[in-house]
Amino acid sequence: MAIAPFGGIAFTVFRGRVLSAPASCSGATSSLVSRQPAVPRQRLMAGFILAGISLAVAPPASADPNRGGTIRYGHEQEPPCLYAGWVQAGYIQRQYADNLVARTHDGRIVPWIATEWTISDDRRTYTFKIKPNVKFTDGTALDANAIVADFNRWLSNDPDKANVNAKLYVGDYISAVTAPDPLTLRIDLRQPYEQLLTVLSTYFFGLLSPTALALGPQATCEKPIGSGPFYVEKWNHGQNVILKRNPNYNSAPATAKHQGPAYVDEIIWKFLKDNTVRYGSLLTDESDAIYDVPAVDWADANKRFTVIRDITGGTPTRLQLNTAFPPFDDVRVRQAFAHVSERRQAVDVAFRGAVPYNANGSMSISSPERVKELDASDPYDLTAANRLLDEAGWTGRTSDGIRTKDGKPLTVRLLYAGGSLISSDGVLVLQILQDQARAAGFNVVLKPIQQADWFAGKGRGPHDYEAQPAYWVAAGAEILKISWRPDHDGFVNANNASRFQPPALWKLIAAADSDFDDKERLKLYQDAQRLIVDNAAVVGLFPLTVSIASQPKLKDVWISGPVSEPVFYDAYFEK
Amino acid sequence: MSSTSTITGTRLGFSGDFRRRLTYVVTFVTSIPVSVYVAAFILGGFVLAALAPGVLRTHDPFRTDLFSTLQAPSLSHIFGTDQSGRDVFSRVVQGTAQSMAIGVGATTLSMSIALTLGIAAGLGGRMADSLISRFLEVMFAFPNLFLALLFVTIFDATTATLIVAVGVGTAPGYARMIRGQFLAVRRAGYVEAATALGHSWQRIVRQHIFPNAMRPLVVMITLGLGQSIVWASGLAFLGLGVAPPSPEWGALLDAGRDYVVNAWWLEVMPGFAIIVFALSVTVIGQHLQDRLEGRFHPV
Repeated sequence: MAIAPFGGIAFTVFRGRVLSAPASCSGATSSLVSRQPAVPRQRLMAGFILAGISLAVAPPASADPNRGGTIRYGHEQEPPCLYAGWVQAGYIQRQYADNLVARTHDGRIVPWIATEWTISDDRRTYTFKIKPNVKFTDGTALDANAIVADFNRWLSNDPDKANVNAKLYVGDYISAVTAPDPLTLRIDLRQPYEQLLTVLSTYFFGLLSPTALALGPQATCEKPIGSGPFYVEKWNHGQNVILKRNPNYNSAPATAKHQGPAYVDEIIWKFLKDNTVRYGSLLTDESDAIYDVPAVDWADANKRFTVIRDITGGTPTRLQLNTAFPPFDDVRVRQAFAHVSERRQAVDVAFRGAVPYNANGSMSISSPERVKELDASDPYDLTAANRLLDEAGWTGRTSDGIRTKDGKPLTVRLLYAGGSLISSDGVLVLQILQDQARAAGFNVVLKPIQQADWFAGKGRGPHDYEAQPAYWVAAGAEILKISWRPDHDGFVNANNASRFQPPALWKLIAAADSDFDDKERLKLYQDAQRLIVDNAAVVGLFPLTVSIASQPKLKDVWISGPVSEPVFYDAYFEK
Repeated sequence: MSSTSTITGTRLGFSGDFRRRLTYVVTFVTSIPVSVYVAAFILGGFVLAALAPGVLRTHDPFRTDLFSTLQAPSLSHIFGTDQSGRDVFSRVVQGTAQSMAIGVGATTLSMSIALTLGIAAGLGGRMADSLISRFLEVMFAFPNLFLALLFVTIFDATTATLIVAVGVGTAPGYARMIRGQFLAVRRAGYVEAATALGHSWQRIVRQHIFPNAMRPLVVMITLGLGQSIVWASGLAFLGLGVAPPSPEWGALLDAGRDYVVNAWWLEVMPGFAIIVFALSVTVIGQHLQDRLEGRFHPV
């Protein structure tokens, strides 16, 4: 048990649950506007990390939980597909699919469908023992052959079959996936990939029935068939997804609090995008739990409801500065932009204590490989920003104070998927940065893009922006490969919106991914982070932070690793 | 107008003429409802805010103050402050020009489209009427908001896009009204009389049909102004408005909706501006309608 204070609100962290402590609302509010934060930054950070890590192991189940009932869950975003892709699909997938292995928040890989595994001395062969008598909800056996079929599909060159994200992670490494017998799975690698087990624990590798997969990508998107504690009954687009209990469930991960079928009969996974409506549904008891407590209601929610929170790993929401073209092709301009705003204060004000600041744009503060000293990188320093811009030749001024060079104004077009990848509170952070950057002569133009356009890449060409905020969830440093892999052989890494791809960076990341030695691997990952931050290729803002507020009668909802998925498998209603 | 011609047509002495004119002016002025004066005064304030916002605003509408966020209305911030400490009154004032531009622009566009279609249908003969009417019916099959949403979704949400979206979205309704008006006037007795007298069709259209059919449009334009602003605000509230930090009124409503329970002034104050503006133009529009339709006799 520990006290994790943040933003003037004290939370009692009790075995993974962040419960509200007797903190007055007014106290919380005053601390938000205080010029002298009541809590030292280090303690704030420690509190957040503690809150995240403490959720690694689910709290013990009640001796005799009540069975039955329907959980009415109000979620924020509706994904375009119920399988893989965006993390919003991953949250639903966690209810209906199993993975080969599970990962705790402190980085341990524990059994799930694989009960045990061995790794060869050269780290190139992984052999898994598969849990017997597990079936997908369509009756297909979940054995090694089914997993081989899944891998073959994920890594297929056919775009209708391939799982793009799964391929990004392991496509280069895996040479063969075979099933020596129905309960033995063997994965052979071309070269060691020390992140393999971690990435296999992510929702990108959720196991689906090969029988259902053969129906095609549309069917997989609409009604994917897994082996999880619930199955997708129906997706009412724009409204909800109905998830029914799988009465034959027998494959819970080691992180779960019980084995066997889920306690509740059904989950109605409602899409309530509007913050007021979503939180209002909890207040009026129209929802039993909601996702993403709005910042303005954070203090109130902690007084009224059971609130749990987890800071997701991977990359935080950060501004990716387009290093391929002016003005951010000049590192001095990028560094100036990083110094020009009080990002910590902007995040604190916008999120009102619900979400922490994440200065290191290359890694979330909850990722175990993060460089701690980068938590204070690029502080607000207007003098330094002005000096750097002067050195870079941006010495002219327009009548309204915008800097110019060769007659061109210092304009930063900041593209963002508002209300989607960036919440309304996140957009407020961008507005504050926009205002503060003007003091140094930046003209920041906010350009919101609709969610569908964002995912379709509309208006996101290399010449369309100078900065883009985005996140990519992951457990930790395995994300570096995704974000910073350089373009090669016709491959253009769309996830590297910074277009920052020095050979030295990729050398560090590639070496780290294959390094056996834990300490050396950590050092390589951290050197990569320093290289990214020193070059101001990204400017950190805040990590994706998952919060779930639930009615007191709903027990044992928890947030899973590695990417903070809500878990309703162990949940039950109090008698 | 007939009263004026009667007075000017009468031979009177200077003092009598002046007294009669003065009496007319006083009667005219005092006969106009107070509500119209109030509306005109308020509208004048909005025009001032649009043309010279610096005269009215009390703070920099774009300057954030992270130590003064979400402050309730007070003497220092009469409309309160928003989530990033910006003065809401100054933002409402600053947003007037953009909101009015959308109102005027969208109304102008919708009236232009509506006039073209309405006149062509009303005066163009049976074939043209049939074609245009079917086209308008197809347009009516889509909710007006859907048309506007479609437009904003396809193109970027800018002030110009909003003008076009709202203008196109509202045009079919106006077009049908104009068509009906022209058809009604075309069949009026005085048009038949002019035809019987042998006047040319161009002369009949110019002297009889057009002035009489267009008269109600003056009212529609004033009503359309307020309606367009409400429409644009609605689109902005749905997240399809102009990009932040624009203080366009609808964008202000959209930005404040997460705080509707905790900071009522973020929704109430811009909403109040929209309502007052729409009410003002409506009151003036209705008064003009009464005058033009002869229901208002000042003297």
